[in-house]
Amino acid sequence: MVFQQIIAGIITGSLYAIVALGLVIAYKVTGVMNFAYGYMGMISAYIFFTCFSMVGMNYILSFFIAIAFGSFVGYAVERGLLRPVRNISPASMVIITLGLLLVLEGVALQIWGNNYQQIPNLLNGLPLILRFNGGIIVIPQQNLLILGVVTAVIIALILYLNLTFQGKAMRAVAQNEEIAKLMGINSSLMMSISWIISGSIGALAALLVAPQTFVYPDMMLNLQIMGFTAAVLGGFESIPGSIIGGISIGIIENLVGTYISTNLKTTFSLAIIVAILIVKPEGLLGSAKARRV
Amino acid sequence: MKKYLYFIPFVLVPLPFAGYPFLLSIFVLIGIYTIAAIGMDVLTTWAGQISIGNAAFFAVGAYTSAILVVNFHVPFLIAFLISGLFALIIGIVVGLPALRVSGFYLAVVTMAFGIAVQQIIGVFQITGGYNGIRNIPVPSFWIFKASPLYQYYIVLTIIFLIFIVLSRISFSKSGLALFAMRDSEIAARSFGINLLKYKLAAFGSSAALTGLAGSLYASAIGFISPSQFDLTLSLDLLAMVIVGGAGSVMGVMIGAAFFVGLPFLLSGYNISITIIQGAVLILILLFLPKGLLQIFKIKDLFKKKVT
Repeated sequence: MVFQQIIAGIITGSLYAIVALGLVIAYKVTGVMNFAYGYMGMISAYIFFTCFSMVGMNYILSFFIAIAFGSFVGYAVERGLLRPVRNISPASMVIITLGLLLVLEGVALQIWGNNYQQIPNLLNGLPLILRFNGGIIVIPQQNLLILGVVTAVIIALILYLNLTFQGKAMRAVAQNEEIAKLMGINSSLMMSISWIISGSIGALAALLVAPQTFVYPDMMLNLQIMGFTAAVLGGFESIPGSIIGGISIGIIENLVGTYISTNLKTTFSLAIIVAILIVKPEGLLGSAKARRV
Repeated sequence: MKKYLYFIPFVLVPLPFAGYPFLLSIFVLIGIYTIAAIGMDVLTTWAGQISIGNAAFFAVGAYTSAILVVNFHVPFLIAFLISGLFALIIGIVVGLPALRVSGFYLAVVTMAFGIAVQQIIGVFQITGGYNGIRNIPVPSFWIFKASPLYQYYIVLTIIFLIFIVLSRISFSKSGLALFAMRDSEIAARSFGINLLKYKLAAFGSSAALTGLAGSLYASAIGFISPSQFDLTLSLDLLAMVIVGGAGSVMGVMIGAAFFVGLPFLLSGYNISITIIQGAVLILILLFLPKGLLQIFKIKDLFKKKVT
């Protein structure tokens, strides 16, 4: 029973973790906290729905079209909306992404309406059943898919950032844009790439969660809130931090939901997270910074 | 004295519409949201704290007042004051973490609070669960019969009183201390400003104003349920402050008018309102960073730097 809940928590948490990852990558390179992130992914889920259910394309093809669209949205938002106003205050930047959220929500309502649209699971086979002394664990195939895809994305991303030249250049821009420019790094390109990655991760998260939540304009609200919380819990600037943050929130949420109260699941989980932040204000893996006066 | 003259248009505006109670009830709503948005303004523009959970204070005020009036038959005026007081206490408790965390971390803490309150309200019996509370009576202290015109002037009077108090505070030592804390916490502390006191005061007064607005909202609408107090409301309150003009009661009023009035203006057309709200929000930030108030060229009423 406990193991079953922990496994379920890891799977929910892995979704929180990649949303947090997408937020953190965009934040580290361009310094923008993207409040519209989930809604950008939501549009991709609708693109998938249109391709697959309305046009009748192949599942895998629609999947990749939707991801490509997500990366395009990421690129377009950074290049067209945020780049021209890089120098305004962070608070105004947050409000701009909030405005973007409203626009995306409205666009989705206008085009696809307010109905809940269904997307089928990619894998519908028999669930994986693990037996061991004292209990069994049941994992549906779609959840295994989620876990596998998320793990693959995280590994690919870490390898990309640490081993490739481009990934190192991106980390350099994240650390110090001016000096990175002096070293001949095309920081403008790196910012675009970071948002392309972030956008496609957002689309991927939306597509993975869509069979459970259905597709509707607010489908990503919960995932976005929890992804944001996971990023903050992990320290906001650290990639391992967001993974740990996401998975621990998933586990906390599932255990609280089972053993304390189903109705107040989110309340208790958030209370635990706030308690952690009060004890450790810079997050689990964040570092306290000396600030200039 | 001159700054009080800016209120004259707001006194005159509803008179031509005296025969249209529906329009007047929208004006009442605008006034109520103005009070809540002033609460947000005090917290963000004056004290430099971020909050995306202020809808919770609104809910606390609305539910306190509704429960007292419906279940315990308390006169509205007393319920109104109690709801402000209760929100004040909760605001101070929520302000405590702000002493440790700041920035995005504070945003998450306040957001968590907002979501938690919404969920808690939905669970308990006394708050009516997810169905909410219906048939909240119109306050009896509104001596004349409960016409929207009369409600409007009551709300406007409350805003006027808040305006007088706030402009007094902004020139006082406490006001200056708040602004100093906003601009640099370290510098403020080195001048002997007690950050604990001022942060809690900022959260407390923001919560109290929002709670009072919630109390008025409950009786003006007559029906409340948890879904009315979601994250969107918190973000809308923040957006009202930015759209109108941060740091000024007039600006906040314009922002509230924009956010509350626009949906009604456009309700006849087949276009979703959020596209327009979002686009206007973005355009205002790009071209009028000080808010719509810039168009009217009204001087900053508090004569304070707006960040």
